[in-house]
Amino acid sequence: MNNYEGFFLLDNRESKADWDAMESHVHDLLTKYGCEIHNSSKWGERKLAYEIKKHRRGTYLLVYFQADPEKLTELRHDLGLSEKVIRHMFLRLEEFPEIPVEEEAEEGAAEGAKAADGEAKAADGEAKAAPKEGEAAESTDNAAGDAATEAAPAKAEEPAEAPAKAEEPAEASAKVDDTPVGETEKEAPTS
Amino acid sequence: MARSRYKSFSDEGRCRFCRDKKKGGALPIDFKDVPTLQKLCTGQGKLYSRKRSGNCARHQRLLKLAAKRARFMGLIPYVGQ
Repeated sequence: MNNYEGFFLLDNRESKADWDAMESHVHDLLTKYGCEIHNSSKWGERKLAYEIKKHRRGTYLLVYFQADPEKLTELRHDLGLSEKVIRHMFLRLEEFPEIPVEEEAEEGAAEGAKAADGEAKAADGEAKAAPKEGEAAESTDNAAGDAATEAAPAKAEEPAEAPAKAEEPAEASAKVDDTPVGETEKEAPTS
Repeated sequence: MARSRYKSFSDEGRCRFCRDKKKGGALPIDFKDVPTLQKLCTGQGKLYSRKRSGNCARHQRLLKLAAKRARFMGLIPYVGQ
């Protein structure tokens, strides 16, 4: 018995209609050839990079299982006959990844890699630095914009509450003082 | 832009997967990791050369394998976008 990672591309329409049936269809085929399923999870639905058997979208199923390598040929044959399974792939593994920890670890690693890339690019590209500054500016603008949106309802209420008029403009002006950058932006959307 | 990026890879780049390993990632190249594969592919779907991507020989081989698997499963294109 070897450890395997099975990756299945399944018919999207049928998966949408009844995912459990599709999953159990694959599981039945696996268990039919004496596979022991270790873990099974839906990998997600996505657009295919190219058309496969007239399918433009597909749902992926990721299964970790133990199987007898001699029976794998027959299993492959059976999967080929199934119309629900568009494509399948088996990879032999030394050991199964730890499932609950693995997901977090993978995410963490992916984030780490992204962060590393970001650092590298930021350090290297002068051109990259400029957009970053732009982003920072945007974020501050957004913060100011939020303040502006907070101020905007107050302004809208002003005409309705005539007696409170004397107080509210004072508040509005105070807010304007706090956010000098956002002031110009604030007036634009309200007007 | 393109030229500056090219230079950056050859200057300090080295292998991004080795770099991740040093930071404690140490994950093998996974064919299901589509964003990473796409980063290392041209607009035509070809893999960038080692000179361009800065990968070490070992990781470039592993990447080649991962890309072929991902292409078979329809995750990344064989050609074009």
